[in-house]
Amino acid sequence: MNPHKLFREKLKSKLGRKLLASPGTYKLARDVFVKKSSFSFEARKKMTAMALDQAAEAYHQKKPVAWTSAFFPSEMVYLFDLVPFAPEAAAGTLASLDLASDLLKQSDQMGIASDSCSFHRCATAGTALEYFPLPDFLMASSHLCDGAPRLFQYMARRYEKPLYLLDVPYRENEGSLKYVADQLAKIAHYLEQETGQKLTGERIEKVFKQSNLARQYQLEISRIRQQVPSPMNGEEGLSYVYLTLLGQGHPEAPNIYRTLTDELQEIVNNNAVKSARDDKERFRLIWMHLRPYHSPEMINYLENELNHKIVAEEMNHVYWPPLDPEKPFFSLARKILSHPGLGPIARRLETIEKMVRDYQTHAVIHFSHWGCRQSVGGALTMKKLLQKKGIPFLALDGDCIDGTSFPWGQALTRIEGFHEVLEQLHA
Amino acid sequence: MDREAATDYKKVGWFCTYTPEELIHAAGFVPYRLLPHSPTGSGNVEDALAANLCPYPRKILSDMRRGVYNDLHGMVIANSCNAMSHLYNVLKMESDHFIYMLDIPRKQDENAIEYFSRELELLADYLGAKGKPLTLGRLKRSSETYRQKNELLQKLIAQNGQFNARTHFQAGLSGLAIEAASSAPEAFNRKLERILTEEQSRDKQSGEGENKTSALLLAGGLPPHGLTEMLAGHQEFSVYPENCSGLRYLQKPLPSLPKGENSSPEKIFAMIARSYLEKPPCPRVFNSQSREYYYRRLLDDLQVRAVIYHDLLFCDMCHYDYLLLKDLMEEKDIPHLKVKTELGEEDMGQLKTRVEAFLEILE
Repeated sequence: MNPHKLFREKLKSKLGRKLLASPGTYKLARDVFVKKSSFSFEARKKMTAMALDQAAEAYHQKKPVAWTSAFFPSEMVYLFDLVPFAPEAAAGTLASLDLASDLLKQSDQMGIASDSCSFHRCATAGTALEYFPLPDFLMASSHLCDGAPRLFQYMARRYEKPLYLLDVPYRENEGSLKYVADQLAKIAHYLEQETGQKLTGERIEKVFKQSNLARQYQLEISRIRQQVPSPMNGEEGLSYVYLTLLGQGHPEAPNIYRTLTDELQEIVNNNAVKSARDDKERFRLIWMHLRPYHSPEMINYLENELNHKIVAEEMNHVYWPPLDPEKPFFSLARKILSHPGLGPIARRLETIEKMVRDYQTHAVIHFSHWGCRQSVGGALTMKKLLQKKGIPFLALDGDCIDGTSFPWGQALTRIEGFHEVLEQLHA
Repeated sequence: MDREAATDYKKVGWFCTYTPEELIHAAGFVPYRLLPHSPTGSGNVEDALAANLCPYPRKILSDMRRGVYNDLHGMVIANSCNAMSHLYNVLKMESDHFIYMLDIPRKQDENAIEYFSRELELLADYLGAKGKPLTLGRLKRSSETYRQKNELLQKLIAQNGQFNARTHFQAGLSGLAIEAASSAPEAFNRKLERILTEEQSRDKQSGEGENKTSALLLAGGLPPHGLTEMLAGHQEFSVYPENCSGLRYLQKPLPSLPKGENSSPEKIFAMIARSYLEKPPCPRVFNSQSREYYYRRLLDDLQVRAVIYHDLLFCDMCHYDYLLLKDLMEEKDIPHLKVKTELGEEDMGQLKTRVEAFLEILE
């Protein structure tokens, strides 16, 4: 039996919750699932092993566990040698394991509004049902997402644990840099007191070096993926969002990105593979926002049936300058505030436009996750602005976690319609 | 409602109660709060604002496209939530008015006050370029006018609460807050002074200074106009609107203006920043303790008999705020009704049935 399928079956059984909350499950999954499954890239295998190790460590509770929201800078977690746990990422994993629908029902019973983000609904129910490792601290950032800080406030009250909230302003200027840097310094101060660890220059140097090295490899990966044909598709690329969320500052992240860089370069160097993949690249696409985690159908159809290739993802884009260990908090503040999703939509537009040019793409697809006010809220404006510049844009309505609320047939019709438009444009 | 009083002036629209009206006023404009009054839906914005966004900005955009706000000179939008930032993007593209985005911190500490003070300086520069320069004199005069307004509002509320408000404003405290936020402050202050005098003489004559009705808290997101009016019609309840078109607007702190040599625009900006960030917290504020404290105080001080929570559709702040209040209401054994709307009048029939049934049980 397929080990992935076996793992899913076991988790859906009555013992599922106990299995999920046991560090042994993740060690076993690492030994069985990672070793026996086939991965298209060694880098992904390494990343899966890293994720399982992190989960095992979080459930083991030997080190303090910090729950972090999607955009909270993970370097802060590694500066204090904490074990990160991202409830939103966990919701994605639960969806891929086909466990989300029960959790969404549970969240309805708890009074969580059904029009909220399903990542958050799933995470709230997962918390109530004790699917997740207990937190020692909770850390959330306000940027891009209104819901996450509220979710974390709710969970911090439930667990009666310290909550560190980062208020990220709308504008990037001298005042906002100082405001964010001051908050980060305060959080570091609290963490020093709570963990009894003094934040040393040596530790900052080490974590920032790892973060910067990972960034360098990410840039190299982007450069290689810009080639025609591109050596990696979106099904693969979108899985590396995990590193964007939890890898920055982690010692394994540069190693994973370096492995991927080497593998991609090898594909590009291999002419035979190059020509074989050429057919799979009828249209090159930019993918905005996340993907459906409950089913690979949408991406598979696009890439395998229609031969489109997602050559770049908004979520993997390197938008920030390198970190400076001499100015740790200011430097992290600059990284946070340089996110293109912050501020007026012109910033996001400019980023996507540049990506379209750099990656020589034919079109842009935005996956409009229903509960996301930030990304989906801007999709219609992005569409207008990109179309003015002659860049075809498709907003695909759906839900990253809930596979029942948006019928696949509707998305299929829209994808096929968009494909026809692209065919006509490039006849 | 005396909303027409402002039409002789250049009106500048604003949305969030953390927006300092003083600065808009000091630039020679009349601050005018944009609220979703139109009973019609927002079907004409489907091309601009996604269906899963808060109905407040959707309805405002809808009204703007219908020409309801053609008399505005400009708008100050606050970065209250994702939906408002998207409204800003859309209006920047299609409106002829000046559109300014004011960044409002979610924290209330000294760093946040410092940051907000600088944001207010930027706003003042911008408004000064669009209207009259915000000189120290103008800043002081406007700050004093608004201080007087807040003081009069608080006197009125403290004096006799809901009963009096309903005598003068059709929708009670909500009506008072709405008019206060959309009228020229000088004229409105004179109106408040008249009302206070009337009320004081009435109290002396009747010898009744206390409100005998049960307190009903209307909490949650901005309510639809129909719900406010419906509740105002129930004379046996005093309705306290715990929302941004109610108590959170009416109960701003009363800061002292820096005087003499100590006075400077920077000091006034700092004073305004502090007073706004220290006003009763909204669910957006990153301080659930202060929010919880505020709710507890309201429930206890007003001896709240029951709560109606308006859960505004697609508003994450409301959704999570409800969970906090729900715990408190259960702890205090206060009956509550949660209603959900899109700010339209379409669902008023069903809403009325639910609200009436709830109030009947209480009676």
